[in-house]
This record gives sequence, C-alpha cells and structure tokens, in this order.
Amino acid sequence: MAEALVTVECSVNGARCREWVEPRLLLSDFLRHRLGLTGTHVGCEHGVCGACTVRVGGRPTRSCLMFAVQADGEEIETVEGLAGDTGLTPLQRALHEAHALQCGFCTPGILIAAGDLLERRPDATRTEIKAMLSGHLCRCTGYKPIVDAIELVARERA
Amino acid sequence: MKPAPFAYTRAETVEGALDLLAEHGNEARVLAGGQSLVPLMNMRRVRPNVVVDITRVGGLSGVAADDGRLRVGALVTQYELERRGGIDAALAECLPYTGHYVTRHRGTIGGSIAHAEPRGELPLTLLTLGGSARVRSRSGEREVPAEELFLGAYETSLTPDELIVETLWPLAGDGEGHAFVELAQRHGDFTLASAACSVRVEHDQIRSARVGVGAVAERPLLVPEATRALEGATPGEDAARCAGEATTDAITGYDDLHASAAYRRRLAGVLVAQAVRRALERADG
Repeated sequence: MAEALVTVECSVNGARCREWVEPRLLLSDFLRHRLGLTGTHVGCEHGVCGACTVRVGGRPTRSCLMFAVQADGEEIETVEGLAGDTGLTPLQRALHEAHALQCGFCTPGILIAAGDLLERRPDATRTEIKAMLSGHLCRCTGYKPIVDAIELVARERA
Repeated sequence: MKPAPFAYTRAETVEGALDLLAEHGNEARVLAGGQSLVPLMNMRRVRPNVVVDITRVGGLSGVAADDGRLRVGALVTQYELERRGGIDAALAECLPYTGHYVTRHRGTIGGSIAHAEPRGELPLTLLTLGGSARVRSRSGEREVPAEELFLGAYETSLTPDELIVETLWPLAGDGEGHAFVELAQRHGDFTLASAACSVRVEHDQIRSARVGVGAVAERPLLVPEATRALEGATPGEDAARCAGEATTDAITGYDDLHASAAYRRRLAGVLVAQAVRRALERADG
C-alpha cells in the first residue's frame, strides 16, 4: 500500500518544528535523523532497553514505540533540553559524581526517566528507583552507582 | 527493525473510530498505547495496512465505581490506574507488573485486554475477578464476560469492527477478598507464572472461590479444581495449600528457554497458595 506523507508539527525542547513524514517513521528516528538530536539513543527498537526514552506531553515515553505522526501538536523533551545556561542539572551532576556512567549509551534514557520519577515522586525510595531502572539496560556500571546517584538527588530534595 | 508501510488514520470520536474499523475490517489495527503493537510492527510480525489511532478519542479516560464494579475507560493508562487510590487490591497488585515504569505511562488498560497476551497480568485478573469488557461497533454495543473473551494467544472473540470502550472490574464486597501474585526474572519482564484469586467467606467457611493462573497456557486459565478444593473449606493454611496442589495437578504448563513445564506447574501451585492466603486475609479484614 502506498503511504501518503503526513505532517507533524511539534515542539522539541521548546523549539517549534514542522515536517512531512511517512506514517511509519518512529519518533526516535524522527528526532535523530530529521532533527539531528542524536542524544536520544536507539538500542533495541522494541521497547526493552530504555535508551530512547524521551518525554512527550509530560509523559515518559519510549520514542521507538511511538510514530512521529503521533507527536503532532505535542511538546517533546529530550536529553539535549536538560542542561541550561547554568550548567548540568542536579541529576546530571549526581551521575557524574557517583561514576554512574561509563560508555554513556544508556544515560540519556535514564536521565529522562529518573528525572520524571523524581518530579512525580520527590521522595522516591531505593526500591522505587530500582523498579524504575529495571526498564533501562546498562552494561557498564552494574547499576549500583546509578541507583546511588538518583537516591542522592532524592535525599537532597527531601 | 522498521515497521512496514501503512496508512495512518486518526479518530477523534468513538463513532469515527467505529466507522474506520467498519471500513477497513481485518486490514486495520487499533493503536492505543502502542506498547505491545508497535514492537510487533517494528519486528514486522504484525503488518497492518491501516492503523487507526484512537489515542485522542474523547470519553475513554474515565474511572468510576458503579454498582459494585470499577468502570475503567479503555484509554486509562496502567500508571494512571496504579497511582489512583482506592482501587481493587488484586488490580493494584497486578498493575506494577504490566510493564516498566516508562511503558506503563503509555500502555492502556483497554489495549492490554484487547491484545490478549497469554502472560498478561490484566487479562488474568479480569478473568479471575469475573469482569468483562464493554465493546462497541457500528451495529451496536455488548458486554463480553472475560470468560468468553480470551480464546487463545493474542486472540479474542471480538470481531474486527469492534472496539473495547471500557472494562469492568468487580470490587470486593463484605467478606470478599481479591489478590494477585507473580514471579518474573526481572521486574517488568514477562512473567514465568502468575496467579489470582477471589474468595467470599461467611461464618468461617469459604462460600465461593475463583482461582486463575497465567503464563502456563496460550491464554489465562480458571482452575475449577482449585475452586472445588476451596469451596466449603475452613479459611486457613490447609485450604491455601490444597488449592495450590490442585492447581499443579490440573495444569499442563509448557517448556521454554526460561522454565520447564514441570517448573511452571509447581510454581503456579506455589503462587496460587500465596494468592489464596492473601485473599483470605483480606476477606477476613
């Protein structure tokens, strides 16, 4: 079946964009290949590894499990939008301090998901943090420093 | 891993979605949260010609208790329902297992039921509690009990032009208790086996019981042998253990990479005993 192109008009990290896309274009590929935002990483492309996690309309989302056309009219937040003029966010700083990244492939997805968790559950427990992290594969760290870093931010805020 | 080409349609109303389903029938797939459908499309195990996106359809996002049942709109997400206070105990226990933190923010209750994943937590819980789905098509509306809904792996009794608009979850009344338990290798992964239970206790006797097991067959199963072991028994450890043993004896299980059929049968029995124990405690409370 021939695919008609469809438009997607959305805001990514506060910048408006409008593109014609094939309906089957995944949001992850849209962000990386159309907009050049390669901070969103693509690992498994079936929702298991968590590397491509972004926020769409304020909800954490696997960008490989959403079509770009579905983001029409939405506000999207990616890892590129986290650090502002004032430097790293507290969570980014904590990951750095705790040696919670080595190769960095999983880090963008974890920053988005952990940031979302801390926003909804500012006093998240270690158990909650671990349950959230079960959706993010990291092959370098063994996870403990990542849990420590997120917990550090939660305790600082509490 | 890129999906095959398809035509994209977006419904704004239930009627609009029903028109699209009537028009495209078997060629179409409904897209709600997409947390099960899109992986299958990425792997090209599912190749619909038409995708009907219902995520913006209004009126499918409500949750309300009504006449002893919780009515849950088809587009309510797993995370929304889980964070809502005062939901049924078994439902509260099963929701955190339905996926990972991020996928639960998109995955919908209606979608999980329609997808009929054999290892799915929500299909098992709906079946065990005796719930149902309200479905609509252009030719009308009907309520389908869970027992008539799940036919096999990823297969329901819905026709291609029907859409689930809400699911109905019986709430525990006086003397009743519900529970859900499961074991997975990692939180949020597919389960090795799961169990759910609903009991009613009166004058220190189990009056009625429903026991269900998941991930041991091509669809969630009720275990009438476990019900027989429970009904008329005195609530307590013996009853829970007998229900578990009856389950292990009754089911066949299957082998895969993660567990043998024998292990699954034994595990299902252990989980049933746990679910019964917990449901009985709640019935007592």
